[in-house]
Amino acid sequence: MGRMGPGGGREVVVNAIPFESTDSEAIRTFAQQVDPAFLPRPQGAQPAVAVGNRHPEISLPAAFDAFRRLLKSTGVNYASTVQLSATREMTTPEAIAARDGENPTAAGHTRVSIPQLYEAGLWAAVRAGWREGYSAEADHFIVTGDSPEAVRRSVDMVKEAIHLAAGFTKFTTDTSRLFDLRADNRHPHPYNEGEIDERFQQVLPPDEQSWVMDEFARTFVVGDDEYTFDQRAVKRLAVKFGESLLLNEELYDSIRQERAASGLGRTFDFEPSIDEAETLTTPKEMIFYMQWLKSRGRAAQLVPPNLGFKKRQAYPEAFDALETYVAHKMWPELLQRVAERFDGRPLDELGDRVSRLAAIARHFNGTLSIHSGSGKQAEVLQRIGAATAGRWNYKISGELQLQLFDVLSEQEPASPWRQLYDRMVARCNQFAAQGAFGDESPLAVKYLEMGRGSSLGDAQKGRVDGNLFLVFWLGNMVGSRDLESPDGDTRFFADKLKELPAGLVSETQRRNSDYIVWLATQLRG
Amino acid sequence: MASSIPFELPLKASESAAVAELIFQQLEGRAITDDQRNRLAVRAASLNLESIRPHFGSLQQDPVHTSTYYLAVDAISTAGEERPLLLRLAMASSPSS
Repeated sequence: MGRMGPGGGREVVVNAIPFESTDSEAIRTFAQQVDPAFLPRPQGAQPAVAVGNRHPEISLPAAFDAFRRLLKSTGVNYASTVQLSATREMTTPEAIAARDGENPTAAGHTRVSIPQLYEAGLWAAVRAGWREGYSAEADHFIVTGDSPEAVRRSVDMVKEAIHLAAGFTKFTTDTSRLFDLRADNRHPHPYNEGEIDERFQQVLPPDEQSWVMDEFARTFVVGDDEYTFDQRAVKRLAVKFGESLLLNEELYDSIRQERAASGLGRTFDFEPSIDEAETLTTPKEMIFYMQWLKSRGRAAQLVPPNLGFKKRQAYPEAFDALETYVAHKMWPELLQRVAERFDGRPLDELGDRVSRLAAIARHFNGTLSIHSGSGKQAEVLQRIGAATAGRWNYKISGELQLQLFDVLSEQEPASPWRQLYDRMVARCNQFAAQGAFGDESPLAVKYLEMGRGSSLGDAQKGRVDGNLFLVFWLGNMVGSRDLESPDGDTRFFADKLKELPAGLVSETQRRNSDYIVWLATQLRG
Repeated sequence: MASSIPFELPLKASESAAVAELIFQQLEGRAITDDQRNRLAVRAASLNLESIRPHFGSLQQDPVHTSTYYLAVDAISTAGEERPLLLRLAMASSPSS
């Protein structure tokens, strides 16, 4: 800007440095060298609303605004943000650059790279003046593959993603691809005892077999509950989870190395996703997973059970709704448990289950982490808050983006932003017609036939009255091109949404902030 | 000869000077606290800034050159477009980097 003499006999020099969320060097230099209070830190035992940011420049300022409001009103810092799945919603910068958007489920559908989200988090924290501490989460490092070779290639890619995410302070791994669900008696075709013995020999080397049998040959006392494992149960759990646990150890070590090398702090929170099993997580399963990792020097600070939550959907409160909800799910025990032990009340059963699992998490000095948190109703949140005794980590992501889409869809039909929304819906339905969403593709037609149109439903009611196909998949469209734009501008929808007028951004941010405050308020009970 | 000076500055020089004067008046020689950041935000309201929206929560002293400050702002063009900037405000007598 130049040299100035504003008054008081002083002469000052003012320089203006570009400071967009993508001005990587300026952001990192400021946070690392001028004011490190803006760097993220591990969450430890603090409760947190873990806020995903599919449109970081819009939702991150809203998240920090919400955390400021909550800090003022409760005295508690719930800030955990700068979160997206590292290998699903985000990916490497190279993969983003190469992504053409014609496969809407390919990694990186937000068009946000791993380093970009980290820097956007720093940028938003600086602008919000948030020095109170927050955790930045590289969520769901997903290992995939249909063969050992493919799994190994996937692990290498995950390690590359971990390298790029070294500045993050919370790491969630998803090694569920290696779960062997047939070891679980709830599977429709479970292994018999002979098959379990055979698999046990294959999964673990001899010294590990001895270790696991010794490690769990005892009773774990957690509060008023006692959990004892017989040898058959230990073998089944080792077959179900053994390979995934060994891989989690490998990924933990990779995270530890990358953190140490980053110069951004060595400590981090580790969250292995057992919720991605298709079965509901039992107390014994959680003990097995937590004890294994702790005993072998890779303790998990957060643990996410499968509670039977579906992304962006309410949890059923009535027994007949639960019957529909559990269809095609590997949750055979749930209906019976609700009917026989909880007089047909699903939320009473949920509260009891969460309470036991939270006690186990605390037993291992861990925090129960709730995944697929978007869209849950107040009653569910209150039950979780009470059942966890206030020590919870509650993850949301999709809902903030849906609120952005709500704002677009509420504009007048002639508005270019409403028309952009309509073209996103049309592309989503076109992709579905091509089978791009796998088994869920036919749902596009189903919900249209139900008369749900392009409605995303009532956010206050868990959106159950909306087009649930769009509720789940419309977000992926931002990573695709606007091919039918009347002006021929076929840029990615994500890029166009960055040009949203200030008024619509403000309205979205208001809804995002209010939602986060509402969530935390309900969870506090 | 081509000049590297932009034809249109991202914000009004007089306004950036006013913000700088406010900060130096209040802070020179003292450590910054959140209270001071909040007070500065209140006082800046009386400047009726049109081309700058300061984010005073970001204000920080340079860790080496203590008479140099950094402040995140949005520069607002006459057309209403916003551009995030980081202002480096230094006494003319301070080293330039």
